[in-house]
Amino acid sequence: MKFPKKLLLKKRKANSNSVPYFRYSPKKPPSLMQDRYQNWSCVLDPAIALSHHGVAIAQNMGKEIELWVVRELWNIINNAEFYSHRTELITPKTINTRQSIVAETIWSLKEWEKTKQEKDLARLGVYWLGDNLQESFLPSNKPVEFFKRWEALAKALDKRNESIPSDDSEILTSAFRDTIALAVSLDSAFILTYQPPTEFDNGFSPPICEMLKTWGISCQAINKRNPIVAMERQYILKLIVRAGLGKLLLAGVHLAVFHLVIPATTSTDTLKTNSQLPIDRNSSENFTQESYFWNKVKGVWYYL
Amino acid sequence: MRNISILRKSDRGQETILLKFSIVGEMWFNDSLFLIIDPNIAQFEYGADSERLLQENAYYKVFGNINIDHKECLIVKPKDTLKNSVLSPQELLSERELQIVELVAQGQSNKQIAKKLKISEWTVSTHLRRVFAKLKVDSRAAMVYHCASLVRYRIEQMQEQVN
Repeated sequence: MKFPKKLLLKKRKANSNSVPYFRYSPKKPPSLMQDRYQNWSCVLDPAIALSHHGVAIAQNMGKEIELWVVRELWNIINNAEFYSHRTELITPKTINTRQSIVAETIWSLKEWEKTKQEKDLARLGVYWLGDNLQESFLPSNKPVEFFKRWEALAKALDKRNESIPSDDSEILTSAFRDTIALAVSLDSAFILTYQPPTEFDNGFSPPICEMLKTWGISCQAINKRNPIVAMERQYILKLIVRAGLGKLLLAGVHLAVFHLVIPATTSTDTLKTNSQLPIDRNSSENFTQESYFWNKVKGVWYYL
Repeated sequence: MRNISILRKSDRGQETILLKFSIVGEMWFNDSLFLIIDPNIAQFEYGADSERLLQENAYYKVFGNINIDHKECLIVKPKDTLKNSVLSPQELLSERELQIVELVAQGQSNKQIAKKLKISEWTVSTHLRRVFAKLKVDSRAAMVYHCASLVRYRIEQMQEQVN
């Protein structure tokens, strides 16, 4: 496959192994996708990426599905030494004092660092959006405008953060924001997340749901017996087994699938067309078109 | 061996060394960082009760003693305020973050930085917010102050390369 000349990988002299650079992927659609899941994409959220299983999932699932991670993950991995000392910055507040979580995060950071040293991140089989298009790695079917769309969505979501005072959770919040905006930008994407055993036993929602709630976006758990969930769950379970990750499920790892539902009337393109959005007169909030968009988004999730 | 200086700022803004010590080693135990420091080469603020300051201060808690090469060293657990001091700004920040701090130190606005790095202004501001959180500062000035020596070093390096 011949790449457009201007989009070819460019290496910088300084720190060339830390910042991944943009190129279109020559990767063919994986076998499983050719028949049934061609349009599906999966985004790994920071909770799962920085868990015990993060590297294994990224390495294996990328062979079976269009798999995405967010740039904040690379920012964290490129500065792993620092975050190993300050794990509270990259773990949810509710659990960041628990030693098992701290140990898991440190272990995961070391694994990611090792993986980064061993291979070019672009060969990992995952896609991402970087600081600009040149620092991104996209599948060949994504138009260049895709980056702008994601950035507009992430920026709009960021506005909801302005009312929340900045604290230690700033970095993790940014990572979740980018994950959510990415999942919305991709047309048929789900977010794969996970719940540590204690949180699962206590019936807590995954951290990404808690984050959505702080932004005023509703998030609902769906029962496994729901017929749509049952059908989709079977497909995703197959996908995980095909990726060689069935052992995670056998070991009782609580993986969860998270969807963002955007009503048909609200397309992500509305953020670009500035003017004629209806305003919800019932609300006392001063609506902007961006907040209108995010008000129409809803999160749903279920355990695999 | 790495030296750590804990500074005290007077009302007039003058800084004096409250305590300066050398880290002989680092170790992790139960997911916590412990430092081994050599009290024999520690320096103190003039007039300070050195024995007491070494044992009791706001930056670390003494956990025990260890004998290394016939030197009695202290095992201390750094408190949050010291965690950032243990790492230099170069270790605290990623290459992109350092680039942005450097440009801020040169007085450039987010817009100018965005143009220079070919990224959006919003991306510049997300990097800055992350740097603020890492350094525990809340202004551009405090950030530049924190990284002043490193920024100066990088600018000198750059000038040397140009010459």
